[in-house]
Amino acid sequence: MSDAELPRLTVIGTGYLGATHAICMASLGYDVVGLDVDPGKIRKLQSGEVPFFEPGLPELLAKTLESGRLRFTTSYAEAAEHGDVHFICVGTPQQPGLDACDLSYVDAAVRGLAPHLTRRCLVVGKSTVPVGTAARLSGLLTELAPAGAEVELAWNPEFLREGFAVDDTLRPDRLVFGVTTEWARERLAAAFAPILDLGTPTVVTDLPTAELVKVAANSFLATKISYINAMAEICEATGADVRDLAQALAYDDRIGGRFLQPGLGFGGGCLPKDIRAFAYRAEEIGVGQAVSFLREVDAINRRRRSRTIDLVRELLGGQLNGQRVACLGAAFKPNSDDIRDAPALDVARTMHGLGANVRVYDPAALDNARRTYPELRYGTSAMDVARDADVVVLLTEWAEFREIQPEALSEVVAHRRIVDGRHALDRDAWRAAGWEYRALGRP
Amino acid sequence: MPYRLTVLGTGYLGATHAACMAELGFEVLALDVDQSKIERLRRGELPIHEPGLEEVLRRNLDSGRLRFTTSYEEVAKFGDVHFVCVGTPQKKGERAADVSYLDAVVESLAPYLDRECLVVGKSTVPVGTAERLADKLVRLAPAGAQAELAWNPEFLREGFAVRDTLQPDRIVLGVASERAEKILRDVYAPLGEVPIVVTDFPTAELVKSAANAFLATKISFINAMAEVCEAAGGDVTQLSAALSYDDRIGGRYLNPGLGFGGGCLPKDIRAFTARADELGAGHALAFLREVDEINLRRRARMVGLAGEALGGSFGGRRVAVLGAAFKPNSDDIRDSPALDVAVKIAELGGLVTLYDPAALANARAAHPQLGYAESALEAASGAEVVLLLTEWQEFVALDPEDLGAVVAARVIVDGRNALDVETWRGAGWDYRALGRP
Repeated sequence: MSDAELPRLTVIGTGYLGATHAICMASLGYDVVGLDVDPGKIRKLQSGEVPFFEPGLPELLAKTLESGRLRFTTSYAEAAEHGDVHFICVGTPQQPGLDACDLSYVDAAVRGLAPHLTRRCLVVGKSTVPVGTAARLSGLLTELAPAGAEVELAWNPEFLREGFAVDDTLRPDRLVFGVTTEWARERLAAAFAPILDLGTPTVVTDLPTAELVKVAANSFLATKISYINAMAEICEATGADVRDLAQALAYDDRIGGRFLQPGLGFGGGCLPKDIRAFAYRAEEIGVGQAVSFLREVDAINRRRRSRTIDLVRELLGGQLNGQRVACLGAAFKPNSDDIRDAPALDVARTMHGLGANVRVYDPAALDNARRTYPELRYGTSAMDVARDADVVVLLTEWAEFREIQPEALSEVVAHRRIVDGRHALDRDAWRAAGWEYRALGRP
Repeated sequence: MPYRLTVLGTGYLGATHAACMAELGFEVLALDVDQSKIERLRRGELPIHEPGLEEVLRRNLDSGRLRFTTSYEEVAKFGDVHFVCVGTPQKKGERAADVSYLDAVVESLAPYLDRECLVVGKSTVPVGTAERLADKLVRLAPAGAQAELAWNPEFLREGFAVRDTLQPDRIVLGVASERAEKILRDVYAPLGEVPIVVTDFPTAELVKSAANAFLATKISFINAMAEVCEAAGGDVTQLSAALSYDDRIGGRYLNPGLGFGGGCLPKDIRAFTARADELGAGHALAFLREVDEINLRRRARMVGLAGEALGGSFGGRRVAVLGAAFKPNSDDIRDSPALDVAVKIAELGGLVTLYDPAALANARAAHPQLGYAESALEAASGAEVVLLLTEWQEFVALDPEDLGAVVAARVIVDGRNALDVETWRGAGWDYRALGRP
């Protein structure tokens, strides 16, 4: 396909998803305009700065800005003028105090864009939304756009993993096209032509199924994590070893070892919010019982956090008050600076609340953690926070924590006690070095 | 000198294990307390339907490596390694597993064990059972602590039992000593390169329950998505396809449909939750109750879809049911979703005619009130609705025109999402399925 045939793209919303999508699509040769209502964000991006931590993305931004194929704006009129295909990439956070997700950004994007749509074009939702949202937005578009029914809506869920977002965008496992017409399918195929040329499998389906794929995938992953953590609870009650158990299960390829690592459980901006929003939406459409298992999944996940604190308390002889606790990790997972619903910080804050003298170190998320939880104390390295500690707690499995030598840490701590919340360390090596080692679900 | 093996219990698991161990070259003596079962096995007759097993059985009877007995004394005298392969069914009226057959084997065998030997449990048991049996063994055996226990859970799939025994994904050894580990490694050495997980008793016991709990959870997960699709107008088969490209999820056991049944999954997850309750960890497995309920709701939904296809009532209407076994390539009808649906429809006044390629005799014996036929076409003859309830290949391969020629109305409800919707609708059929528009 020649460049002349490539549709011109816009990306509404330049957060994690939108910025990644805009930059990656420009890198594939598309003319892309990224829009955000936040002029500060736009200025940063325009000057080549990615406002979050994502490997590979800053380099790609610099390259695409230089190529002239990527521009940023705060003007809906400009975006509407430019685009043949408009991707909506705004966030759908959890509503404060509710399990439901907040669709006001998605609605605002459609309401902002639609009045400027005067010609035939495709609006594509990528955000994770409750099933039924696309049908409603489709009606809203037709009603508000001067081009009326010439403007069509499609749904094309994103499947990005933080830390792998560029690769997941450029070389996805699959593309899902939720469409209502053949024209919309063709437009999407044109918008993803270089990716389809790689032989990427495509599932063409209706709008509700496309909306469901992302929440269903996240629900499955959350379920798998909580499943092995439920097994850890059983192991704790029976003296069994959940690591051996997980290994034995992983050899069964109907199960597989991915997402079967027992530990402190999931967090972040997606899994917890997505499963809660899914359960909430299922209630609304009268099939709450179908996904009520997700509440158990959520409850298992939360119990891992309190169990970790119990292990710390047991190692300290029953009392956290006044004890010096070194926390390794703040991000919800390694290779990320994201601290949204981070199990690590949840554990650190709870121990702080129980009177422990907590110090936290994380290779990337320290600034975010400090800004959000100024009441905690922070250090500049693992060794720094471990100095004189009564107990060390590994909460996020960064590679640099895995590589810590027990002998080196022994030099600085007050007591050789460690709780491994992520099964990241070699138990036998640490015990051999004189450490009291405890982990979730292991004797 | 190679170990001499014995197998206690000659049901599905025991017969397979005994024949396969003999196939590997061991001298094997298998025991059952049921004299008639032993006589049939001696003649080379299997009481179960399992592809390839009868050949293995006969070959090893002929070679003389495999023999059968009803005498514990003979077994104790013969064997260095004793595999306990008896069943642990669900207790009547309870969720818990009945381990009385296991206890009976240990109580019968132990008094004859007067030399060093290894007793190896293979049955699926509540965690904690092995430790209890190990104590019992030492107490009752004249050899005392020389009679040691190990746990080595089985992972057989019906229809693939021979392959799963001779080419397993992995071997799990729950052992209390290096001696026990060495003996079992020697026994399984002829299998070649197989991953071996060496662990303690409770972990080994948990592996099988945990594996079945995961598979049940995965099946019910996609069936829960089917329930959501039914309410939201989505298509669960496309949803499943989109999910299965994600290799963290995978397409295995992600086929939406009528759900699981059989002698293992339902009983194992119930026994697992019952045991967790006893241990004070019931909250950990509360999700398995949801898994069970989702699974049972699929059967009710299937009856509902069939009723809708008939315009609301089953009274006096002809219903063809294809499938009785709980899954294809099996004659097993224990807790079969297909039969459950057929029986329910008959209770609601439907005139059910059922056909299954292998499970017909078992179904007829258990449910004589249903009508039976000798082929799919005969079952469908004059039917007002056809229900596909077990996805046998011969049903998946049915020609919509052939079937259309014999039915009274071209209406089909696909309980296994096994048929091609375009083909059947193209041939003028009213096609309905679970979780699809």
